[in-house]
Amino acid sequence: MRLVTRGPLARLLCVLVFAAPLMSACTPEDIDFVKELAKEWAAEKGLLNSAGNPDYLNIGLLLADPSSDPEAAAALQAGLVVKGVEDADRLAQQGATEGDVTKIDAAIRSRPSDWSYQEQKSALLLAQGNSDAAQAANEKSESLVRDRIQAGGDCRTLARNMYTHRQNALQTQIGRAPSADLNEQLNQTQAQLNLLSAGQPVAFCP
Amino acid sequence: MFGPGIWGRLGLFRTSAEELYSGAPDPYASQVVTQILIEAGVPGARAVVIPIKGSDGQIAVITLDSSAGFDGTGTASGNELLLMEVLQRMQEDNRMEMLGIERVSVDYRDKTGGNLLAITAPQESLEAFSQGQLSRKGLLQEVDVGLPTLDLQEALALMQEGS
Repeated sequence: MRLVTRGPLARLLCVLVFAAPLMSACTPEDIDFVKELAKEWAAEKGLLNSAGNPDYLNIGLLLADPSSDPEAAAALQAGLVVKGVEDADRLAQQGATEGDVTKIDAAIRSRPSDWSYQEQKSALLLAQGNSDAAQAANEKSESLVRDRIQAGGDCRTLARNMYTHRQNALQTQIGRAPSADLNEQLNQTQAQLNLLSAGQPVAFCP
Repeated sequence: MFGPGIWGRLGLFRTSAEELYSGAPDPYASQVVTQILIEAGVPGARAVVIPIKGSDGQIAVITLDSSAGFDGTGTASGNELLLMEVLQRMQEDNRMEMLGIERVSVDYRDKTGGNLLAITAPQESLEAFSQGQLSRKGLLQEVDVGLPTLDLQEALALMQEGS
């Protein structure tokens, strides 16, 4: 794979420390600024030897040692996770707007711990008059959130997250076909969000 | 560091990242951070804030997407000014709105939407930098860079080519 490219992307790539050929696509002031910044970064990371050239031993060690900073290493893969989220979101959104629960189920299979899809499933099932199954999906969502809280998550932040997804899902279904059940649940959800926003206690976070 | 390259290919970091960020993105926090990017005038930029499993914090993943209209932000020095503006707004909103962001990752995507380059740093370090409590040198020590879709051989080839 060759990363040489022109245009704005090339300017972004200028931050890549050793990629001098990429500099051909940058303006002169960009090149000087980025070269200095890149050299500084590489030196701080021990990736340059005393002569200022790439230290391939240290680079190799960094490449080969995944344990040096697992948190940062995972964060560098977060963009790929977001891409998966976008794909699953598209699928679930299609299911919600077309009334096709199988598409939401496919999103759930793709990201089983993501409660937003349970919320979309619940709202759709409620819109379709299947209140028992809607309740089950809501309970599944709340169970996933409680698992997170037990694992150290912040209850109010996660409750706001869950209720906002619930609100959005209900609003989508009300937009398709308003009903008393959907409106009632939306009112209850908004009441919880108002309490959270006001810093008041909510039942989910006793 | 370029660490996750080969390990990412083997699926180790990807598995870890998928597990850590498996919860539903925080719609409120995502909207707040995306709004900061829009107001800073960065086209093709969006943010997704995701709870980190096993922690009370969240990660803000900022996507700068060429396929969605990201066209650079002027000169590199201009980028730094823009970065400072965004960091300061994020610091304020993180506190005021209780967003719980503890790490930021910037993901650059190419014209085809492919993940090309990722940069990450702890929010604490970014805040200290934006407040002048941490030097640029200090910040750079906290910054990690990755090529999520390159393996060891490709990354080394790129470095040798550029040296």
